[in-house]
Amino acid sequence: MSQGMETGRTARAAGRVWLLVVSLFLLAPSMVLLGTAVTTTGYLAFPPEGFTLGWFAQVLSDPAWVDSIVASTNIALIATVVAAVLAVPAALALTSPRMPGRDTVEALLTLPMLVPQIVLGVGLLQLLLVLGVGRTYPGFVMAHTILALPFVLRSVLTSLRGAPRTLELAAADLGAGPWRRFIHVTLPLMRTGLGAGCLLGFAASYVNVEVSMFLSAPELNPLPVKLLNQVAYTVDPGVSAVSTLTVVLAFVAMLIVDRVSGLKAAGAPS
Amino acid sequence: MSTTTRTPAQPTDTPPAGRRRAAALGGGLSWRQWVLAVPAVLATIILFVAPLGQMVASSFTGGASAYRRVLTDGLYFEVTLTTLRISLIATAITVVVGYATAWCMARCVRSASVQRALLLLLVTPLFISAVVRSFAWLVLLGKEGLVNDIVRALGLSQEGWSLLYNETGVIIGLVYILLPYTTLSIMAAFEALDGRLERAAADLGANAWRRFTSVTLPLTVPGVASGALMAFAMAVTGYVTPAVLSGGQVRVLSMLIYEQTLVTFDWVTASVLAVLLLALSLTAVIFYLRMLKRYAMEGAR
Repeated sequence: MSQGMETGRTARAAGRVWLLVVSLFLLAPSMVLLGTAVTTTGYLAFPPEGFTLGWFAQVLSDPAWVDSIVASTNIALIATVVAAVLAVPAALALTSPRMPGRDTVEALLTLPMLVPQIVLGVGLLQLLLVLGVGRTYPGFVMAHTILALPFVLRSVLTSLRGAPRTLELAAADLGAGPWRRFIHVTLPLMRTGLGAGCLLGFAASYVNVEVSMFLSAPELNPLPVKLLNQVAYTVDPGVSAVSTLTVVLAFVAMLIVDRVSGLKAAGAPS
Repeated sequence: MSTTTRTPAQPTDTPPAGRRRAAALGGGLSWRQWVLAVPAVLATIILFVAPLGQMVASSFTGGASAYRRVLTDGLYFEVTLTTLRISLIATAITVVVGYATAWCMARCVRSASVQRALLLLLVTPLFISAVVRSFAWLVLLGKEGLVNDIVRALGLSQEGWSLLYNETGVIIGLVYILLPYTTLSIMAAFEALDGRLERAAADLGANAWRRFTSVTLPLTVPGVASGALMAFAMAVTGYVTPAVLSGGQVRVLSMLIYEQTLVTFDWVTASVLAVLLLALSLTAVIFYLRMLKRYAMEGAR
């Protein structure tokens, strides 16, 4: 007989079995990618036959793959920095109680994250071609800035709203000007939010397909788009090797986040 | 007359410290705050409002004739139905699996490190491209894939199940993509749950099932609803998973938008389809935001 709120013993055991099944479901694809990336066969074999790191060596020495990885990283980095530069002052304005039309501005700046990416992609392709930067590096950075901006903004806003703003008032009373207040008080207050927001923004750009696929060109092919094109035609263990690299990267990033600020900060859909 | 001149000090002679304080609060300088927001607002107008405006404008090239053509064409109607069917089934499965998972994480796991490991498994996929995550299922679900190896070994079927290049495959892939988002959303509802209510129900003699159906479930419904709406909005608009796992045998709206834009270059039709898809997903998003607002208000009480 269960007492009070305690979940019964059998129910708990069944629950643990369920969690094991779900964990396997979540893990299976990563395991399969890793397995098919180390096979010695020329086709995808799972379980793998033999063991080789040759596929990793091959893709990392293939300029086409390396160019894609470099392009994705550059675009995501620049777009995140631009988004942060735009988001931080906007967040400061939005947390000031006296800003007119605050709710409208906040809704407008959040909206890009709620609109289907493929729809945004179609629109951005048409507009960037009109502006003469379709299918170019600057065009990509512009498109990805709008992907990253809402994530950085939401995250900075959340951290500023939870912070004790009285510290800024105290700094003002002690005679600190706006710049000193920002550098010594406000910036440290928003540090965690800014970090988490930049990570989310970077990821939003780095994993994006639905906008990038409209803007990519043969010489400018971000990694997810190149992977998509490869998967549509031929799959060999090299594709698994590249995929495995992205999975390992994500796991390492999450382990670092877990150490620094807790995983909730990265997963919270705020 | 002499009494009226002796008014108390006016705000005009506030000391400098007070003025700085007012500036830090943003008082009296409200329009200066706007300057800080202008770059972000401009970027959003140029890179978000203008592209959508351009798209809507191009969908009305030649008046509403493109809309009339799309809305009366049997093919588009069929594809829309397929999109909705797949999305609804995937959302329903995701919500049930996600609810069970969130419940188990809240009630069956005591160890903090197991909790953290499970959270890691749920959060990490959000940082991996949908292409990579769908590609893995291409390997798993094939006729010679691991799943069918198990099916054959268990004697469930002689030649294995067809799980790829059909709606089943797309639904499995979508559930895999959506599960982390929905589970995290429902987990938040469990965290906000006041455990004392369940305990009170137990003290009043309610058995486990009764406690679940009349206390736990109703109190977590807002989390379920917002998780479901988010999943549905993502399923309806997703391109990658159906494109990879359908092998072109199943067609959804997002695939048609891609084809019209990059294969047949019919941008008017692509824009019309994009506007329809936008309307479909925004309906879900508006309900989602309302759920979140109501939820936040209930939480504040």
